[in-house]
Amino acid sequence: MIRTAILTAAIAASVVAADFTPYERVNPTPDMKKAIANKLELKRPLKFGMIKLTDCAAIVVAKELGYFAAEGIAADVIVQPNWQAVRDNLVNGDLDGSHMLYGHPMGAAIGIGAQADIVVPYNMSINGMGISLSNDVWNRMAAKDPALAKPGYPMPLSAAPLKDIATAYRADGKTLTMFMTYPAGSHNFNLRYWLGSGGVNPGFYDGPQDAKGVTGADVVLQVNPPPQMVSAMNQGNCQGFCVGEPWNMKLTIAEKTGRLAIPSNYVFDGSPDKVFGMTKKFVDANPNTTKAVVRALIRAGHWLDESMDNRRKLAEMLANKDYIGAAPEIIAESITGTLVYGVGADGALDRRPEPQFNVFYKRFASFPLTSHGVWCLTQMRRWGMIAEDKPDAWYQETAAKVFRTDLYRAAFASLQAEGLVKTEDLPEKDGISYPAEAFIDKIAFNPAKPNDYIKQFTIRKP
Amino acid sequence: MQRFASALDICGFGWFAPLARLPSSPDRMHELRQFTLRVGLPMIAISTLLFAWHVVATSVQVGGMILPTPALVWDKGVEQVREWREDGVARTAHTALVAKTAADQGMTVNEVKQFMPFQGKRLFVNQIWLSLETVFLGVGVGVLIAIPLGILCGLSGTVFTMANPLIQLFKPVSPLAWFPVVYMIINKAVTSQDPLLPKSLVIAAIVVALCSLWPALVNTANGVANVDKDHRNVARVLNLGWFRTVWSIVLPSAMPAIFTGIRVSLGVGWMVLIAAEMMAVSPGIGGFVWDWYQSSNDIALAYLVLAVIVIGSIGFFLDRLCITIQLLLSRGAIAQVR
Repeated sequence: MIRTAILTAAIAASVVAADFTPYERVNPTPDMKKAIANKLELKRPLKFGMIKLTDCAAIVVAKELGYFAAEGIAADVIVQPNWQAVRDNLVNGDLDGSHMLYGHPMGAAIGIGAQADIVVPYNMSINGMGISLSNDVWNRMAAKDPALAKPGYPMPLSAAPLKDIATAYRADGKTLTMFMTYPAGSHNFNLRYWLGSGGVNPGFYDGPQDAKGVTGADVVLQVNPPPQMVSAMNQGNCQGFCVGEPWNMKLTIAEKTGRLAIPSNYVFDGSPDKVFGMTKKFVDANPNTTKAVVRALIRAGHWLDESMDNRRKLAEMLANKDYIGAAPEIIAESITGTLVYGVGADGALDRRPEPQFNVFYKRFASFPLTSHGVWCLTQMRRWGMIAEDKPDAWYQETAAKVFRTDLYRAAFASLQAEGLVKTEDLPEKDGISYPAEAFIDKIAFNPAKPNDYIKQFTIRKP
Repeated sequence: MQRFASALDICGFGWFAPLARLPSSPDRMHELRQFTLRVGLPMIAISTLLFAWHVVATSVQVGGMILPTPALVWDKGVEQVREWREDGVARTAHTALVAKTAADQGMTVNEVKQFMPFQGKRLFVNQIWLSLETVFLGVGVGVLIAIPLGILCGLSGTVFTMANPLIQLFKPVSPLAWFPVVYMIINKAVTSQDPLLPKSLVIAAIVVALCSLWPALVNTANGVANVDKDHRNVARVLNLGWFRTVWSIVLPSAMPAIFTGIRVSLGVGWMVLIAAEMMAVSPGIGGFVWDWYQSSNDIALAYLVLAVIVIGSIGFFLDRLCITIQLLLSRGAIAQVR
């Protein structure tokens, strides 16, 4: 009796979770006619992996809005626990394709971790990473530079003060530690680039088998899966991290235990980030299926950059617990073109427009540029993952083996013939150069001259 | 009536037994008082807990996060059951769609089904079922290894002295330590694209087996070693062979101890399972917990509390099941079990 009464009272008083309206599914059932017309080699659902990050968008959209189905593909999207599992599951065939870091296929190609042939027929995003710092580190920085204490501190923020803070930490018997998501990964290279540009040494790798990379480090970097970044900082296990969304917004808006120091587009604007990886074996054995997958992804990318309204629908899609599951308003923040850098003492949000933070299709973002691969290799050489000098041609050949522009171009051409995409969205060349202004340290990158490029960095593995 | 009451006792519904005895009992007041005590006291405890929980949840906020009330958790439970029902409806609709597609395309139903199998949601009810399968598989394998080894250890002091350090070494190893080892081996060993059992289930079950076999082993060894001397002497007098001795003398006498071991193993297995599933990202209850934990959404807390309650209830139920089997196998040994 008492229990029933309490339950009734509790139901009356309970807080109902904020609901949001469901988006409309266009065609979630695979089109059999299309499957037969496309001569798909595999008569089973394809398994695609994703990590709980907003830049998995193209895969989720292609599934939810029926772009896969329209090609005759039945697709299973399976959340993976960490980047290591993504790599393992793709290589051993548990996944047919996956949301990956560009460093995954590049690392696998040159035997960092373990050798494997993974190819990239589609690029999932550019930019989209954020470097956050704990309140303690931030307060120490603000004590030196009063501009940082107020909202709207100028970009790009220099990493230079971290050197003294790291020394102060060491004097207390502690280590200034920052987390990233995977050694051969976007977040590692982005964080390293930022620290290096401020004269802070993030530590060198002693060749491809060194998984730690802490030789000579001012700031020690460690691996941690994206969804656990915020709790790691709350527990004081790290004083900073570099990760994709929604985890920086989870920190600044929901937990308020740290600040967004610098979004990656101020470190390297146009930086590669996530790619869609498939094994070379799969692509060679199933050319028609591969083409159909890439077609669906290109259409999904096109939809993503078509309008802000679509981005809001995306936030609702990703908030589903089968994908990211975080609160839709936190997911919506970055993908609708804004970022919250932090919360002031008065509770006011330091929210700024960042339209270049999440780019999925514009600026050739979905094209698997070979220059992405070359840049990745230059960073691997710079930090010592590649132990010895290689000729310029090696950089280009290795990148071209992984970034399969031919697969993208074939799929794009067939969509073009159907009038679904426009010619101006396809780059003429397979790789592009970046001007000095694209980088925080103003060093221009020409993929034709990787060795000259590496030599311009002050902090690099001797 | 008396037999019904003792049957209730054995099945773990002992609290209901006084009521069953009521019609035939000479002292009805006593039976009634017994029932009130055995049902009322736990009810008071449960109600107090729910009330305290409700008060705390409605008055305390942790860093701006609202804590789930008992009612909210109950709602989430109801929601899981509703989703499970809806899934059944969707499944029927899908079967119709497959049949229609097959007819339209001139293909067989099986061909179409292979291409577009039913893609249901991940359902909590199914996840519970999968977890039960995993724990029974894991503990089953563990026990099958543990009992023969335990008998050997119990019979022979030499074998026991050899095995003891190893048992003591591996017994305290946490599932979190076993997991990466098992994961790396199974991941490389299982290369089939379409294995008999899902890889994540196999990994979780092996971790469960590795952690849960020790209590069964140690208990079996103890039970066998402590078999009454007289019983063994009977075997010697009858001139029974080694196998007959074990089968008809040692095993029956050691049965209560063996079952106590299995019961503890199942308890350990269930506790270990959730951790193993979380790491293996198996779609069991551990996977459910992990999904919600990773979502980093405040509402996740309600689901996580629901999971805790469900895990506890199932653990309790499994334990009761073992006690019941044990009692049925060795009536009269009731005191020993508690």
